[in-house]
Amino acid sequence: MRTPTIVVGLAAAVFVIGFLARGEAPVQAQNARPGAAAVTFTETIAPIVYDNCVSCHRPGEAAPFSLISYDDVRNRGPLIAAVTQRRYMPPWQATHGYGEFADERRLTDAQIQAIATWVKGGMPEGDRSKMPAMPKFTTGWRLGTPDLVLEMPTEFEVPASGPDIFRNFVIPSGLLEDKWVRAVEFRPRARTVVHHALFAYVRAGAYAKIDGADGQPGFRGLAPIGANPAIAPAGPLGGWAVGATPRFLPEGLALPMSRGSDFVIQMHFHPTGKVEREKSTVGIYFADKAPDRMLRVLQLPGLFGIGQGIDIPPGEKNYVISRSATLPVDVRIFLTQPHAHYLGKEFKATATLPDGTERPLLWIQDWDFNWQDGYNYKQPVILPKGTRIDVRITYDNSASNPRNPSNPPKRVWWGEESTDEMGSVSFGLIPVRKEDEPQWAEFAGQQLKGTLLAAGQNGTLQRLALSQGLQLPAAGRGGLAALLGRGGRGAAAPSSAPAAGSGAASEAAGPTLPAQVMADLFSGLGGNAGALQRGLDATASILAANPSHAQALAWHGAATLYYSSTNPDLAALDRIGLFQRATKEMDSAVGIAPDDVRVRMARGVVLRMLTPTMPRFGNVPGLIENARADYQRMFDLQQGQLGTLSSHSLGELLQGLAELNSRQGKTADAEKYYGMIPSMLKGTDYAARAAEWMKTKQPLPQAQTNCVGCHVN
Amino acid sequence: MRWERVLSGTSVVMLLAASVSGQTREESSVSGQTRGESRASGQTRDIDGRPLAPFAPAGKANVILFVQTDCPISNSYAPEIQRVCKAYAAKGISCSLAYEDVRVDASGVRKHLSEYAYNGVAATIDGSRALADRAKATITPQAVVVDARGAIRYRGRIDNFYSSLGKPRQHVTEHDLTDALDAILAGKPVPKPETEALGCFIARPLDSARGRQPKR
Repeated sequence: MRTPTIVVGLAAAVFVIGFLARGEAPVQAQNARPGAAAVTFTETIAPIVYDNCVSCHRPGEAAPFSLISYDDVRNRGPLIAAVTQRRYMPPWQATHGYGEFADERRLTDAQIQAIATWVKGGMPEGDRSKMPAMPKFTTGWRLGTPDLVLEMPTEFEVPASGPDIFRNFVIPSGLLEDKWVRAVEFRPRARTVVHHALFAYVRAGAYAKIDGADGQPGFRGLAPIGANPAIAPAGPLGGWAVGATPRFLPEGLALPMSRGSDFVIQMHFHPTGKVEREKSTVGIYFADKAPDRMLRVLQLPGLFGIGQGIDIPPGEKNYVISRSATLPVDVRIFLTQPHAHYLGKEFKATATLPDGTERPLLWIQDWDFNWQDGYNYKQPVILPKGTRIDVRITYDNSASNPRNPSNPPKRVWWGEESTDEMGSVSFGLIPVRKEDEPQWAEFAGQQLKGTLLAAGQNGTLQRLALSQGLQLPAAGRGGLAALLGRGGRGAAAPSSAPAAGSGAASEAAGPTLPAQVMADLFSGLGGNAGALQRGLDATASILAANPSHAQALAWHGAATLYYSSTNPDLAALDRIGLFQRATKEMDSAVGIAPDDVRVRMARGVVLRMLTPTMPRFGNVPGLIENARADYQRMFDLQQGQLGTLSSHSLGELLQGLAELNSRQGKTADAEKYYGMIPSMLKGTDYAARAAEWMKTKQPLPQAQTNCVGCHVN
Repeated sequence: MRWERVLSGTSVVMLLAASVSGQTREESSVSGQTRGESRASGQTRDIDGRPLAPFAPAGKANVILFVQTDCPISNSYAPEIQRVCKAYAAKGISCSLAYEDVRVDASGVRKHLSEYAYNGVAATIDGSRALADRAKATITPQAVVVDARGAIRYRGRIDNFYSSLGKPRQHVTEHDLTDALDAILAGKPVPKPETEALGCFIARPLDSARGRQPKR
């Protein structure tokens, strides 16, 4: 099976960052004395700064300026007071007290107050004899001499300005045998421009096709490197973030790395205002032998939230996903790492023990994608079998979120691009008892299966598979094929289409769309892009208030499908994703209101219009059948009042029904409906076309089946 | 009013200079009120020693951009500053960079100009903070726009890229500086004459009495 391989790799890809690199240790500062008469630099401020700031704020490090001397600190005094007050510095996202973390980069309230007092009091230097010694910093490799040193073969130029860059670089490892990695130490050269990095190994040459293909070293993107079965053997090797210190994995744990593999670094660059050239070096530390135990990962929700059906409407300020799991065995958790992209806002993870006791695990209240930290528990968190872990993640897709990568906000789904979203909290752990390993493996397999099932049902898995260059499994090949074989469902009769939330209410039509919205939608399907967008927006906002508004759902789907099929700028993947979403919406709407003419019209018209030019992806015959069923239902519903329809409405109805039957080879049915046209619509284009069809009784070319009199407004 | 507060804090030295020089003239301040301000302190020299008069533009306006060599926010604006200066040069608006570092010399500024690819923008070192004081600039980066009459028409951020310290936007949605310049070119009132700049505070110049801040 290929997919589980994707998944296992993915699950560990980002998260191991916390093990191999964690925050520089700011140790206890002197007790500040906010009430004391004079707060001076040498006695109070220097110890705080030395313990908490200078690991980064010194020459040659990532922070933008040094805070070594009295003058350095004094010149930045008001700024330091401001950023510490806001707790933007030192950077640390986890809420204090919600989980006990090692190396917490945090000032106490008293320290912050002391800085404020000192700045307000004119920033006196004080008694120079009381100046503490500058901390000693290791130059060179912090973990000692590495077993293997690798360097980017060429430098990468980061432009002076523009959006953040996510870029992957490939370095041949030259390893002659399989190894176990205890740590990776990362040394960027242009320190101010590199924000974080992830490491992996992949089969030699796996990325040769795309490496450098755009004329620059490496290749772009945020794809989970080392997590693609097509490039196996492959796997994650941890990561690095600004301010982090390299660490060995705890308790003798190690990660595998295959002989002959390529080492891949995925870097996040943040332009600084001037052109920078990065050429990083990594030091790799090997274990002497294979480790006794494997690091296990519990990710909630699994696979960075792939199974959650993340679909965040534009403007949504508080979109929530949540996931829980009950532990099958006693575990020791070493660390946790959250992951989301720019819209992520709040993470909360809590353990509830079998006796009802709650243990806080992690709480981030204002997620910042730029500070990708892992959090190591001060002491491993021991949780007994039967403990439930709850994870809740929220997103802000409103225009008032300054980090929103889309302006104006747009609908956001699960994906690998920085404009897509993911969401998960990972826990690095081992079962307390080695003999529980099989039970854990069984549990992890079940979690995975559940996530995959959900991801298959919401269509995300198919997008992922395509993005990683995998062939879609052929229909009927068992479990995965069933998940992916959405075309089969499309072919089913409308009555069995999945209904959004409610049982099919077949009798009455639901609420109707305003006339102006209908006008925009018709005009949009006629080729007016502005009208189409207005129609999309209007139906989306109706759906935000009433998700089961059948007409809005049907027309939103129809407009989305039209957009996805006619917009030349869409990437193939986006086109497929929109296609799936659109057909699902239309099918759901028909499920909710099968006897609503406008619901049937939306799906029938857009499918009839677009199927002739659709690539053979999915199940086009099924879509044609859906369209025919829609036209038939519209005809049946209006049969007693055909005479009251406008000639345009009647012509479109009869021509559509006839033409779809003809395309399906149901010549007798086609003839029945084409045959009604000459008498009911004498002298019209419809009549001329019907006469044309009668000559051969073969499907007419599209120019003679399209809408008559539909104009762009 | 914030502006009132700033004005009331105007340096005693400056007022003194103004009255002594006798060159006080009526200027339309950014708040729309008229205030007496000195032009005497507006003269300075660029890093090559040439005279520079940022408060007396030769063209329709001059943008004084208060910057620092080691302020990350100030530096990240270098490309945008150049884009704006280049775009408006043809329309008769000039730019001058005022370096507000605590310690920087002409060679340090030249190095910075070259690293950040500044080209053709006048630069001066405002070591005494005379320009910052006169323009009432407190932050880098901060833009102050002086019109042909010598009146300060805009003071504040370049745009709203930073929503707060450490929280950059993915998309700029308000271009306050160029809005101000467009208004001046169109002969209209500047829509938002004062905005809050985000960045590094301009520190007072070093003085000999260590541990004490010189008075403003």
